[in-house]
Amino acid sequence: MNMIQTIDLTKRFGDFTANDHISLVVKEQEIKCIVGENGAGKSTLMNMLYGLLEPTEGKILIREKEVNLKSPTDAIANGIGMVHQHFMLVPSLTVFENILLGAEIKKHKCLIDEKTEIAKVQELIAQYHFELNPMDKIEDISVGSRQRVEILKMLYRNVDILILDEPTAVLTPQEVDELMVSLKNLKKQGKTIVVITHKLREVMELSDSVTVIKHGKVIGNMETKDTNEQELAQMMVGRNVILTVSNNNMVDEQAEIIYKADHISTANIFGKKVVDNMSFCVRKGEILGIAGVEGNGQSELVKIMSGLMETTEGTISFHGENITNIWPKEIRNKGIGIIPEDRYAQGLCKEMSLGDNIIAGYHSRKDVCRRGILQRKAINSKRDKGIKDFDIRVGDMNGTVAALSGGNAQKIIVSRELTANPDMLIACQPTRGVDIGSIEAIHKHLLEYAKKGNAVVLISSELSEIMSLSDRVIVMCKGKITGEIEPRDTNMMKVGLLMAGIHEEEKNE
Amino acid sequence: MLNSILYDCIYHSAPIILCVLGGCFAYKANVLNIALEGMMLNGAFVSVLTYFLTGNMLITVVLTLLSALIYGFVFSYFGITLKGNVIVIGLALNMVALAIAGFVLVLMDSANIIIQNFDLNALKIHIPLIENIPVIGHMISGHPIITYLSFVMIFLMYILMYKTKFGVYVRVVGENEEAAKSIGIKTSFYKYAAVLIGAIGCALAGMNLSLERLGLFTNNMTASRGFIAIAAIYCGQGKPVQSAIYAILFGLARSLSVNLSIFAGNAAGLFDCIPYLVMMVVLSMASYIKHKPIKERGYKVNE
Repeated sequence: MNMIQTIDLTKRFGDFTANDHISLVVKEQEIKCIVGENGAGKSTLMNMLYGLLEPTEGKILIREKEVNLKSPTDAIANGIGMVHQHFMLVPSLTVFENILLGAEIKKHKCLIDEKTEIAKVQELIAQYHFELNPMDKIEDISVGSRQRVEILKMLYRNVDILILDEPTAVLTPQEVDELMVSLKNLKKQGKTIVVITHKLREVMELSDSVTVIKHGKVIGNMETKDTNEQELAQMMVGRNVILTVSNNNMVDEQAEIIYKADHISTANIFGKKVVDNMSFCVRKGEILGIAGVEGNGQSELVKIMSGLMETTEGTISFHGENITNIWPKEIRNKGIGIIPEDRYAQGLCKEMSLGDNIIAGYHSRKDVCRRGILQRKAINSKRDKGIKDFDIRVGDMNGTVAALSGGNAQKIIVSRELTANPDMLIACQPTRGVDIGSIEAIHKHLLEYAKKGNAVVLISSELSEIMSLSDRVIVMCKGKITGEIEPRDTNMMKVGLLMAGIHEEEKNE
Repeated sequence: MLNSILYDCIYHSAPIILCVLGGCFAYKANVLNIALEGMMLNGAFVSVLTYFLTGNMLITVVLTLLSALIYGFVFSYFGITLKGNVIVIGLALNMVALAIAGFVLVLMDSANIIIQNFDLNALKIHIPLIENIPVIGHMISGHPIITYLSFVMIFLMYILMYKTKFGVYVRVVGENEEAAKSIGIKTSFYKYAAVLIGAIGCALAGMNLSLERLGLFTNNMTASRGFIAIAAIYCGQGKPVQSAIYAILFGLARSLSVNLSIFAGNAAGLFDCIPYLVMMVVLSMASYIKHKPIKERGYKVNE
């Protein structure tokens, strides 16, 4: 039976056609992946299926009956549940409260019956073999667990079609594997699953069939077994892309050390050491990768390095000069560029123009600011040059960053940091949530930059990114360095062990 | 001396507690209600004026609550339905309340409204037995009914906020509106409700402040208690019990200022600033303690 069928589904926003006559079929008990670059219209399509948007034209058929979905409540009533990319959870409430939100069990007419609720949720967790404690608060559990809560929330409402919007974007490699196992289990239990993604490895591993969307149109519908990653990538981007850019630079092992962290530590709000006695150095012309499961102190390390957090112990030196705990502006002035972890929180100002963003952090430099007054002409020429050199796709030159896709917004940051010509670049999650085409471009820029004799510190939760780009990799676990490896002659197995904090005793220690 | 400080502490805490309890819901629903001050002043004004004109307590209570609901609806309509800036709307309502009362006072050609032959003592409730306990008896016996109500409300509001569906929904709406919408919660309804609870709380606080305790109204008699309540809500992070404790702390500060100024002679007026100074010190301390262990620069707690 066809669980979902869309016939010529179209959605227009004014003149812009986000979805153009989309026709696809999702069969019962299959895992369907919908792939496409950012901005291809995947989310619009899903929002129509979940009742958040109303189609301009076309039909939606659920279980071969035409439906008119006006709200998420309608969708749930029709057995469709959606797990959003940004979780719809309430951090201060517990797991069971979140799962039963909107479907509370009551006693004495007005009070909430917590006991029965917990028992119900316990039962649900057991039924689907999830690992969760119903009493935990959402704010205390990992991202992977939160996602499981979100899935359970839908399952509790008896949906048999689950839509997941970019479910792996926020997960660690281990959590991705766990999610895949869970989804395959759900399929066995009779659920139909639709996954939106642009990670092709996951498509190949997970799905039964794939639909590729580009510019709001269906480019191809096929069985997963009849295709491969390269072909899908080509369909998505419309040209041949190199899926992994690899590092062929040769680093002089005697090159000058320009950046040195010496036994640095810091603590979080609760006084727990999240960066614990870390020492490392970076040489000229080298890309140093920092790998680790997310939440093991990488964020805090980057914050220390980029001046957003203070250390409790230890020193950092750059070109032999002590730069411990100086502020981001001074760090940039010393010649260190920063690509921050969260581009919209720390890297860009969404509501400001492209020009303003392209000088952000460098706005008091003489070339764009004279006697405290910003030089609009100079800024605009800088902007135009950046857009040209880094191939940033913009609609309106004078528009805001909010109008750009994730990949292009990220390229604004990369262009800004690299054109300032720093001696070292801190690149934190440089390709998170970025489309394949832009990933390729950003990787090439990083390699080219290092080749010129500059240093790069690359922090990423994408292990493949770290392994293909870095000259040397240090692995972090629980705030400590658990090992250093040569990416060219180390297998993934060893890295995985180090990431879990298991390391063989080094002989010379 | 100690007796009167303790008695006054309860006496002055009551209106702030009521204001705080009402405001907590709006705070949790993420609609900052800075019109607490105006709503309280309105409650004080309408209650005394109605009683002055009708002499009927039932009509007074009904009209006071109704007028508070009007303020609540105006605030909600502009702030929630029309999505205006709640700070500006709140400020406007504070000024409107002050202006209406001032206007009526001018019409009446008087600086205040005084209810003649109003027996304040008849409104005081003396609790048998407890009344005879030394110190405590004097402290908790002999207050008007709304004062007692305010302390009972701390408990009731706690239940409402944490043990009922309504309370959970209000908090969900404030914390993650998208999440609330995604499961079909009518977010505007809960925001309106949260603001209206605040309005009722303020109306009771105003009634307590003017009619019940003094039997008179003078303009601006709330003297920024509404803003002190906002400070208490912030310090207590909108939790009814914690916020109420801060309210009592401010009540104690006022009680001290009133009782100590007796000894101050000419400088008595200076003691009036004690509650406001306490407010500033408490706010800075609360913020300092929260931020002290944080190594992250520019980190905001609770946001």
